[in-house]
Amino acid sequence: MDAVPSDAEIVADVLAGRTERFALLVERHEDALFRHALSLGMDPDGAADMVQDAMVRAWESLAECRDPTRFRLWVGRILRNRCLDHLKSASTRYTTSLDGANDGAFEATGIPTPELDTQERALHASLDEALAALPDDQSEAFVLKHVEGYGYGEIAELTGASVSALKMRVHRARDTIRALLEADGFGPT
Amino acid sequence: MTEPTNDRIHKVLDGDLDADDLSPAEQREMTRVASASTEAATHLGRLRSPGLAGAVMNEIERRTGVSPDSTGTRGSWVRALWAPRTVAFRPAWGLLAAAVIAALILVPSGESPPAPTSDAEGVTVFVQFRLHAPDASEVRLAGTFTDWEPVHELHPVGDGAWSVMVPMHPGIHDYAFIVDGTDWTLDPTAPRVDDGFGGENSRLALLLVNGARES
Repeated sequence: MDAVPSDAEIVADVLAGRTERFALLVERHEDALFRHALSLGMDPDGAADMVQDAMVRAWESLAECRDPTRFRLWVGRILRNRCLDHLKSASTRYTTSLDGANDGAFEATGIPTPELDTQERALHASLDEALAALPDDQSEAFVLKHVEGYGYGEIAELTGASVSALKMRVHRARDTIRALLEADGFGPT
Repeated sequence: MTEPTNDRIHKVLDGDLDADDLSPAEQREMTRVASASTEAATHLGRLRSPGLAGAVMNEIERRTGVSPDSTGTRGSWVRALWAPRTVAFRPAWGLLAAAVIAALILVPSGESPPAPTSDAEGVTVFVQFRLHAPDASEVRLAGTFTDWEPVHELHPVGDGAWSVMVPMHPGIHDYAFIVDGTDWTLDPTAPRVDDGFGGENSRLALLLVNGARES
């Protein structure tokens, strides 16, 4: 069985003419990019559009990817810039609130949960509520750190924020999530 | 609303402090914080993209006019045509170089006489744009191929030079560099043409030679 090719190997293949292999990069990174777009405040349809657009732009400028071993960081930056540009325009915000009580990026994850029992459904509802309470910058930092597994240095490169600021965002996100889950009875007994 | 967690606990979760340095009470609290974070991360990790590989490749196909999934003899050649190549081509080399590069791409060796190609959009050539701007902090490229949006960012390559490789289709392309966001600058190595508004643009001609063929 062939070894799984690295991003850098696939980029080299694409630039050498095996363009169809670019689909492998899309398949490998689209879920993470999709979650990143959601964490920035995009709605699911908009997030999908942004991921598609970012990957096409990545293909168009693939020769400019100076370090293909860090393709995911590079395409993540493209996605982030596209999302922020999009969100700057009026009326594109998925979740809005005048009182600030629900100004987070995630309104609801919409994850189907047909197989879950009542207790698990309640937990998921509580998680949705906690994630919706996070401001965008905390949502993004939490997702990149704890879901996608980026190091703080990589997140700093991706977002332009300092490592200390990012740690503060993640710390606050953890605190909010813990507090809201425990307020709903989902804590240690 | 949220009671801040002891910062030492976050340091442990960030790998900046050893868990053994925490008191038993701190360790219990750390478990609570970590458990909640793990639940949230697992929950979010279930979010999936709707599956965009096909849409992305179709969009690429739409922009280039040739399918990357073509099969058979013609398909494999079309696929080879469609594939971008990292050819360092400078606008200043002019039409002759463009024709040579196009010929290199389009004429396979050892093939029977092929039919003429009519689909110039199916060819992608990487063109290197370069500008000497030692005092610039940012250089971008805009042109008819970007609807004059400065989407291509040049990178400093030493000695005051900035460079970018751009995939382009054959045709006549007008362009200019934008230095530090405001200064529209012509390429000193390229021909200049009237922009119709009292100014000038740089011009790049990427033309296929008559002998270009597809098999």
